[in-house]
Amino acid sequence: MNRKIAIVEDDADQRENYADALRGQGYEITAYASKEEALEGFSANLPDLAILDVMLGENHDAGFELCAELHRQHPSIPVIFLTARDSEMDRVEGLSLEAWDYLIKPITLDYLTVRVSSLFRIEERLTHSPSPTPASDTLCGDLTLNESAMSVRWKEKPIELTLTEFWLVEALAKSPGDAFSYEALMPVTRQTIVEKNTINGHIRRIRIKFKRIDPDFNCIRNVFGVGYRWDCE
Amino acid sequence: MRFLTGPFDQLKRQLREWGGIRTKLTFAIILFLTIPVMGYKMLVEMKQFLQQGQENALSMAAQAVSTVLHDNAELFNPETGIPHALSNEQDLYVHEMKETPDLDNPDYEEWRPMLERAIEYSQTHILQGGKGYVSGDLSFDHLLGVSSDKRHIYALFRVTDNHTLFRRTKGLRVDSGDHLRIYLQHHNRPPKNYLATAYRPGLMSIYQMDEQWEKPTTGMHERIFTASMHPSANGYTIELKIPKKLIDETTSLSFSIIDIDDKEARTIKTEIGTFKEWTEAYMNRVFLPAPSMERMIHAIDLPDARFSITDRHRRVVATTGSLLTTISRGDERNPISALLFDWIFGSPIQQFDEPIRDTREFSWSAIDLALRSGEEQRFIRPSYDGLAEVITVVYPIHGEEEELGVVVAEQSNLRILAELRVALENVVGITLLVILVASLILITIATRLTLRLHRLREETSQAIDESGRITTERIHTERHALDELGDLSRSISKMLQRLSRYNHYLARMPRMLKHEILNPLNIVSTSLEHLEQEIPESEKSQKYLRKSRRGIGRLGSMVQSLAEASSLEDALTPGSEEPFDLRELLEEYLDNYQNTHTLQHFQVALPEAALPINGWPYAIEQMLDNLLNNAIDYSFPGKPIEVEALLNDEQRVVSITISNEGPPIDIEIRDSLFESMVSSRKESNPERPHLGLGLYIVRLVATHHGGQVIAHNREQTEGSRFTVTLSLS
Repeated sequence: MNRKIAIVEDDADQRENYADALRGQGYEITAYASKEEALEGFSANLPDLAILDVMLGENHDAGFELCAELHRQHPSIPVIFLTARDSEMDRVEGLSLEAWDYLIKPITLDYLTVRVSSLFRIEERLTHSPSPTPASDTLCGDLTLNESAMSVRWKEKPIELTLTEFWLVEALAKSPGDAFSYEALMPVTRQTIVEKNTINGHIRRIRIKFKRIDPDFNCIRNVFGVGYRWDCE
Repeated sequence: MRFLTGPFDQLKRQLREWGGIRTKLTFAIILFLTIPVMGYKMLVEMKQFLQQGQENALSMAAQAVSTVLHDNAELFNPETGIPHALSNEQDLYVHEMKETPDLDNPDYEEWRPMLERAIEYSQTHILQGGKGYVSGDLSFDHLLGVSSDKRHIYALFRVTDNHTLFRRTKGLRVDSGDHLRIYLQHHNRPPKNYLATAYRPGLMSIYQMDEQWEKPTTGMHERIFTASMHPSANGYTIELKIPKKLIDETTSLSFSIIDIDDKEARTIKTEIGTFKEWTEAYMNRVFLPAPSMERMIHAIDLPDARFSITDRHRRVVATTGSLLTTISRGDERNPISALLFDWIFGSPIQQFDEPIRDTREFSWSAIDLALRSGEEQRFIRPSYDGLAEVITVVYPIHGEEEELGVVVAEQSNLRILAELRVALENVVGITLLVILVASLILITIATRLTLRLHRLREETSQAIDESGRITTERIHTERHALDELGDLSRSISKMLQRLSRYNHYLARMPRMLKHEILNPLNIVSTSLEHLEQEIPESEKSQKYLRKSRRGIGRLGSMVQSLAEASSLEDALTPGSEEPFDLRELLEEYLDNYQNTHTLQHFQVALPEAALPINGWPYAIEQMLDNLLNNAIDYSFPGKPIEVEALLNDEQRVVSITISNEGPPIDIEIRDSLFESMVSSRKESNPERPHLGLGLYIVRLVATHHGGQVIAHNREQTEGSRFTVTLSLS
């Protein structure tokens, strides 16, 4: 059965490009240009995944409103925000609406399809086999990484990371003690455009998420003038 | 902060100190002082004009007098006014005396002013004796004067005699001592002889003598004359008093001094007279100011003016009027300036007088010239006491053949001076008052204006802080003022608001721009990906696709760096600080930085102690990135960059100073250096676009760490220095 994906994007060109790319991967795509159109479409044809732009036409927060509306009716449907708005507040807003990911334009279509497929994979795991197979776990001290489920556990407690964050933690934790320069960390995010602050932002959010579980978490260290390293000593 | 310290700059600063509004206005006020000066100039002109007028009036009066006397030679003739044709040799001229001589007093003070006009008689006038005459034997000078009441005529004889002998007390001879002979003759009547002699200094006895001067006719003292004799240093002095009624136009009067040197024989040694020979007309004629002439000119009534008629022999024939001028203008004077003027110049002259005898010599040359040329002469001379000026007009009296004499008209300019003084006092008084009031008002206005401007400037300069950030959008000083300063204040407020909006816009622009560019960029980039799928792989297509991807990448990184500041600003949310050691950070950072920039030499000086800070380490890193990149970019090749951290324990701050050697900071952009999207870079590097955000980020980080950043130009060497201060935790 083909997965159904809804794309809500006011820009016709981008909408079409996303649709073409995902359709090429065998998904069933429905594309909407506005919030109203999308809500109408959702009621008739509920998607398995929604990719939402935040700004739709004149309404600057239409994507957030749409997400909230969708989750109110169908809380389990995963949502990915794909937007040009990258301020911290927008990210927090998006993730607080229990979106699965918050992606910043420009995005490579490869990355998008990888994201979508891994998302479906995770969702499948979560719905069909709640406990991830320990076989695929990688242990780095107190950190447990499950690559196939893209899940992370710290001192046996699960931490919800976005995909990018997962990749960064994975890269750092697999070579504990080694300094990773910003330049080295950039390709790990698999994003087209990455600046130092993008990395800094990701690391900051990762630290916050770990500290929520363990306030004494101090394994991601700064290497001033270079980048970061994983060091729990 | 001084960026230019040349001598030109100092001059400018001095000019600024001196060129305040108040100073300028004070200079302008000084210009006011030219008003009384101009007034004075005008008054001087007026004085000239008035004096000219007075001169003309005087000249007309003199001309009138002279016209009356024209061709009236008989007025000067003996038959009418004057006994006979006047001669300088023979005539005894009677001078007018101011004071009446005191005969009892041995000195002759009263004569002093006229002494120089005394006529000396000596060898040429020997009448008898005189054998083996030497100058010390006998000589005398002589003066005649008429008292001011015109009732008596006085005579003074100053006799030089080596042997003064008084009359012998024994014996009846009246001529036994040095004595005076008086020859008096009335018209056609036989002459009378009088002899004056004395036993001792003091009053003399006077006897009428017979024709041969042998014995007194009566032996009685003649009471009509009074005389006194007093010894002097080289002889003696005789003063004689004659009633004026004895003398008229027809009277002849002569004197002689008899010298007796032989104590025993008492014979006459020498006689010297006021005449030369015993001829028919030997007698002297007394010349008195002519009463008929005086009567004629007496009618002239010009106030404060004196008219005198002088004959060809320089003798004053008649005088009328006086120079006495009395002025009282007290009631017209301005009380304020009068005080000032009295204090500076003394009280105004209220009275002026000058007797004719004192100053005749001033006029001689003009009188002679008028007599010679027959033309009017005018001149102005200072008065005897120097307080005023005397306008003198000399007008000749024409006769048939030659000039008969001159009319001398004199008048002081005291009236004009007094008039001018009152005018000057009033002009100066009023202008001074006006200037005083105007100056006070102007200075008050200027002071107030200066103060207001000062306050406005203070507040305006505080509206933008040292790092160029607008601290307030509203200027409160003069906000409600109705004048131009109010307008200025309001315009500054408006300007600040506009500037602030603009700055705000600039700060927001990268974010907006990024957002606006990202969408089309996304279209291009995703479309390109599709194209890669669609286009058959050929060498050329691969090449162009690569180029497109590179272009998109560059565009994207530009957009990203545009948003660097805003994303950093987002990250620096309060509450997310973490404690760290700045010293450790600096050490590690600089070590790593040196490793990646091996060609650049750094001189690092860090304190020993730890520098605990609450903040965002990666933000500090970025701040250092920007500062060091900047320092390197602007450094002369091969010059070291100094990095120094200084702990100020008292103020709980640490200052990080990064100095390089390179071109100095352009003073014009210094204040806006830390603004968003301001760059002083001239050439652009396409691989690393500069959007003028680096120093903006530095300031952003510094302020988020409770500090600030200041840019200087180095003083000793050419180069710039950035100092960041951060608060310790």
